[in-house]
Amino acid sequence: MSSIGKSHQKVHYEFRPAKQVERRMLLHALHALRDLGYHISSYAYTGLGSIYFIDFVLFHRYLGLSNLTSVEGDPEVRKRVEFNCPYDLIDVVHADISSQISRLSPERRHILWLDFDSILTEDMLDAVQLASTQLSVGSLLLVTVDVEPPGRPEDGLKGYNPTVWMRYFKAEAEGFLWRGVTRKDFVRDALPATNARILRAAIEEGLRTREAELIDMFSFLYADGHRMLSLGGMIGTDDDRKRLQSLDREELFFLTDDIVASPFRIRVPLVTRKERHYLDQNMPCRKGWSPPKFEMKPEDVADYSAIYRYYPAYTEMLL
Amino acid sequence: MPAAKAYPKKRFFIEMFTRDIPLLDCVLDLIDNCLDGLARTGRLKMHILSDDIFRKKPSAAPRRAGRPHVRVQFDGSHFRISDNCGGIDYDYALNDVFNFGHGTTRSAEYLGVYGVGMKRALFKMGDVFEIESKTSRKGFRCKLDVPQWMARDSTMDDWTIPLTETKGASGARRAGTTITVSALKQPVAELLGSSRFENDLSKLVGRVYAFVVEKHVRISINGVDVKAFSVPVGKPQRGKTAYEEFTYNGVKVRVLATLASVNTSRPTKENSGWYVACNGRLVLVADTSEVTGWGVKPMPTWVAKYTSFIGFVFFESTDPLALPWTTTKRAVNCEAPVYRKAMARMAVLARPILSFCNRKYGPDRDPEPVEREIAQQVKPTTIASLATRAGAFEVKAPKGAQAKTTVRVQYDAKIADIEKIKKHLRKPRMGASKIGEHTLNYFLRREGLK
Repeated sequence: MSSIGKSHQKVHYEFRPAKQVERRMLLHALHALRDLGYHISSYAYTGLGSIYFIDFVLFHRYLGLSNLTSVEGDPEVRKRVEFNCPYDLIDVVHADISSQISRLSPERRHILWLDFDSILTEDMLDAVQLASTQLSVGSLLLVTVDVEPPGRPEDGLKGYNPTVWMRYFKAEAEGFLWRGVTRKDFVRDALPATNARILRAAIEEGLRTREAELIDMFSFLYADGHRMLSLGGMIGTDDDRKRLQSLDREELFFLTDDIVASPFRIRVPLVTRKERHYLDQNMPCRKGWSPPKFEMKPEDVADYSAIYRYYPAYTEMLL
Repeated sequence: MPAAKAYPKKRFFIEMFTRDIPLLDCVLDLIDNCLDGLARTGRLKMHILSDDIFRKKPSAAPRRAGRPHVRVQFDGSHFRISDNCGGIDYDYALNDVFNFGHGTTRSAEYLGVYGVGMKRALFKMGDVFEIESKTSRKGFRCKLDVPQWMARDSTMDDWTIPLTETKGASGARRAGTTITVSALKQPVAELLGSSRFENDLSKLVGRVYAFVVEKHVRISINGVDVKAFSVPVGKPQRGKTAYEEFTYNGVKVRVLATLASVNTSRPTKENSGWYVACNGRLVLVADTSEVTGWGVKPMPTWVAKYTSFIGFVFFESTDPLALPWTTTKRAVNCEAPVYRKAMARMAVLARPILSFCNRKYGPDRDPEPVEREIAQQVKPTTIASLATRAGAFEVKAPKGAQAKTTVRVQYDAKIADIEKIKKHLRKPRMGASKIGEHTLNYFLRREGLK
């Protein structure tokens, strides 16, 4: 199994605002866990760094993580990945992600981000199940998948409809689908929840023989192009669950107690730099507030108000 | 309050209970009885077996001459198994051995678990059996005509077997048991009279007792010593094999996974898969079924490309009932929590090896992946040398070896279509493979992928 898709060829990772918002929210949550007594800086981070390593830079700079492993499954970009590796302490491993999961030490805690950039496959589910079997208690597991329908609209209605999509998921996720699954579960709008449900089933299957559970924390739905879903939480015990209950849910409003039913939708409204500056001056804003100086839909104001702290600023940099 | 009768019936134990067990397994049960004699007399301790399997230097096993000997002899008219493994104590025989099922207090045995094996085997084989056993203290003798015994079944007093007390053995090495079965049942007589059964039994005994035979005990079948099956366990020249151990509900579990060794012969399907041992007895040998997780998520179904895979799971406990084996001890109880826990770990440990095998034989024809070269250089080794440090399987490619970045694409195309392309490109001399490259590149450029 290739550990990554080829999205680095399709879109410049640095210009994916919703993804960056997600990363920063994650960072915020990890800080909160640290304040709760989890020794996050000693966690080992394993991710699919691709050629950009943005998550690695954030986790190293802002959380002090120094045990970092980037797994790369594409032999064609071997040199390029190593060339772009930002720190010497990042261990770039050329392997498939499932094999690398088997190598994660049970002696230490991990943050494992299976940041897949394509639609769900059987191999991904194998990796997710293995991860929940292997990760030590107190570790964090996050899985990202593309939740667009399988196939392409160009395939025509015959090859691009919920019945075909259902067939795809039945082939790839057999064993993780529930009794009574119907075509309705595979219509476009239902796909995020269906993906989430399948992923949760895979995680639970991996945990079946362990005295640990998945404590739901993250379920981000966003789109910088394709709709993506990132979900996960802590592999923890009842004690961890009780401990996490003391997290400030108002402050960490994007956390969820149910990764299937209650995803947090990251929507990044398109605003100009000048508009953004103005909006920021008025943040946080009361409910129902709208900028008097320019037109903006109320839902865009609400979305902006939710993410402005995490919204990255892009500017041209002449190197 | 009136109470319904819930009495046992001899007929059930003699005619029904024996239906589900193959004759080969019956013989194994009787061999287990012999080995338990060694356990009861302290001559074979479980830790000795473990030490022998897992220590780099095997513990001092007795020399051939001093090794306890289990003799199995049979033909179409009788079956006999005799040993000098310590015998069965008279009092133990009087109070426990012939019961159907063990009581709460029982002597130390590592292979006898349920208290049914010997009786079930004897009832399965024939209508008359004789047992003579001597410990160094005292002994006993008994003879049972099974149909006569079955005919008397009115009260619990009929559920006894007369024993004659005899003198003990003249020395510890002479203490042992001899069981003879005659008046064989017709299907049993046919099987015992065939040379094929003898060969099958010999092969099976060599596999099931691979860690015991030739080291701690001598087993002969019709006068020929059984050779222990040599598990083709291997170690890559540059890399690590997978190993871990844990204890669950009082059972120590060791899981080990590696590649098959390539010595004089190539790995075979017959030897590939998982080997599961309970207290040193191999319960499953080279299993590639769902029982060991093949085809159960996240493990793939076993296919020929996984021939190089070899894995072991050792369960060990001083309480044999805690082990995940069935009453035949030739299958595992998949529902046992300790087995389910082990299966999850087996899947994790196997994964890098399966990925290695996948790369070795990718879905497409790839001339010479480096994995094939690595697999060809796997040298034979011992389980002990691999079960040293917990860790995952990892191999390093030989120096200078590069992972391949290309794959051969082959398909049949219509000649007419190839001709059309040549004409369209105005290149009449263009070969079919060049056209293949051209069309692939065209697609990549067109779709913005290159």
